[in-house]
Amino acid sequence: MSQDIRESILQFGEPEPGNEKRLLGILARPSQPDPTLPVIVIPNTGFEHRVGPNRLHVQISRALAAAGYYVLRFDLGGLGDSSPPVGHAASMVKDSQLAMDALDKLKLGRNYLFIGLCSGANDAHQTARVDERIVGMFCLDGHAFESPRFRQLRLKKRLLHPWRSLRNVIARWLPQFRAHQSMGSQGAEAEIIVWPSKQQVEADYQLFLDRQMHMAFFFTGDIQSVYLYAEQHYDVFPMLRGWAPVWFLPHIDHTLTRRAAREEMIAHIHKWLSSLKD
Amino acid sequence: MQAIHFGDPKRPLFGCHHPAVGGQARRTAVLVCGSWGLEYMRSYRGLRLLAQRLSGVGFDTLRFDYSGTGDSSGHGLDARLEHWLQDILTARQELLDLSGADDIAVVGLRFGALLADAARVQRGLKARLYVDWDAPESGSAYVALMQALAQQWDNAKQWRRSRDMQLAPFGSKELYGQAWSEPLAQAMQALPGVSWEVPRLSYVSTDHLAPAASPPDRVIASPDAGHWQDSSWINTPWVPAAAAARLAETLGKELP
Repeated sequence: MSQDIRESILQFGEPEPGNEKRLLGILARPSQPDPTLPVIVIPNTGFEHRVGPNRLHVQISRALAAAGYYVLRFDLGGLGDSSPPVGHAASMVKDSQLAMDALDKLKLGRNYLFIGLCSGANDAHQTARVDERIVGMFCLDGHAFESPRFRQLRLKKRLLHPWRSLRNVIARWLPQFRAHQSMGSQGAEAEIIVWPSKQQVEADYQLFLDRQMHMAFFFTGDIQSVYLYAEQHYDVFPMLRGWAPVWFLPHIDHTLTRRAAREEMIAHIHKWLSSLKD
Repeated sequence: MQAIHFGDPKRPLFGCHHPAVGGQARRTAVLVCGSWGLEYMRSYRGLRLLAQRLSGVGFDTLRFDYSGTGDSSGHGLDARLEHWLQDILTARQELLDLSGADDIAVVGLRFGALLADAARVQRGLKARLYVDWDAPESGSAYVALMQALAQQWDNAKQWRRSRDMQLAPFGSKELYGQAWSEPLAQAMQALPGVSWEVPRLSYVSTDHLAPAASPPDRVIASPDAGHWQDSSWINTPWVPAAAAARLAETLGKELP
């Protein structure tokens, strides 16, 4: 941790048996906070706890806190050190709202900007639909849909490289690509992720635009089965053009296993956040 | 459960203290030493479950992140094995202060078992009982496995990608997403396997072998698998509910 930021533990939400609050996060605090900046919130990525894949969320938190932002990385109920509510199923939207409620009480800022990877992008999107405190979201490998040009490119790739297409079909049957089901209580306690339809996402984006919510989208080469070129998100959702930046980085993987990839993404986040100040 | 920062305020460690549930706490508290890298991520929720089971049978329990990892302070590139050994001693003292127990038992998962034993040999860590859960043969065997799994997983990813979308090579100071400096690499690889000079239990998953020279009466079979050597499990959480309950029950019988 850098000398000029501090991190504190935030336990919030309803008390569990034993009187501890059921949700847990780490709040990175800047040494020189700027009250005009939104507070950054980072929910989980998939089943991984709040530190994120390859400690990505920690690195983002500390980098942004050093730039003056308060940043909360936290566990949704059923993940990491957080529990689902007693007698109820976990809800990512409810838990994200509880995180903002807890931050509201600390009076750190007036509004919130979510950074989400994969399921975290979906959490940000779903929560923004119902909570106007969210004024921005940065989504990495979030919602992606096919466009006519995507289908053309996919067909071209299949015709030019039939062997590669075949091996990708085969790959789906190889053990290393299968999702294992026996996740014990972790899988059972976390909320099942429901991805919205293209029509729903389109309606949501319109709602977000009407609110002038800031958005940015970052797609990696690991989702080539649904995303193949930089402009694809604009072709599917033309209303985003001119408002929300989209980056497509085919040389990067979904969990940002390379340090250079993590640094590149953090640089994009920095640049985008800086552009919002102008 | 109470999340805490502890140790040197300039480089605090993150930990979770699980006080003994119901009635009086036992005289022994349990320190959980987790594994590293891919296994740290996979086992995080599983070790929480273990701590809950241990607190349920009366043990105050502490699990924590080594410096430069997880939510503890420090950059991964600055992490050093000697810091981790000191972290274990710091965590022991914190646990004794929090619990009022007169001694601890250490449960070391995988690489954490080697670290705990190194802390005993090199730093004088004291414990009433050492429990190793699927301890690797040695630090070099562990590192070789991590490298092999990373290579298999990465090859599989590259294999699916077209030529124009190949991933960049890894940098020199990283091991599949983990910051991994040369001094850390050397020190990790130099760690020997666990020693039987001390009171010890080996807890062994269904797909793992007990450490060499284990006395048969000190080896306990876990009812769950670890899948530590299978690259297809790299991103799958390890939450061994039955194994955690059995270990807690075993330690409940073994320790005051």
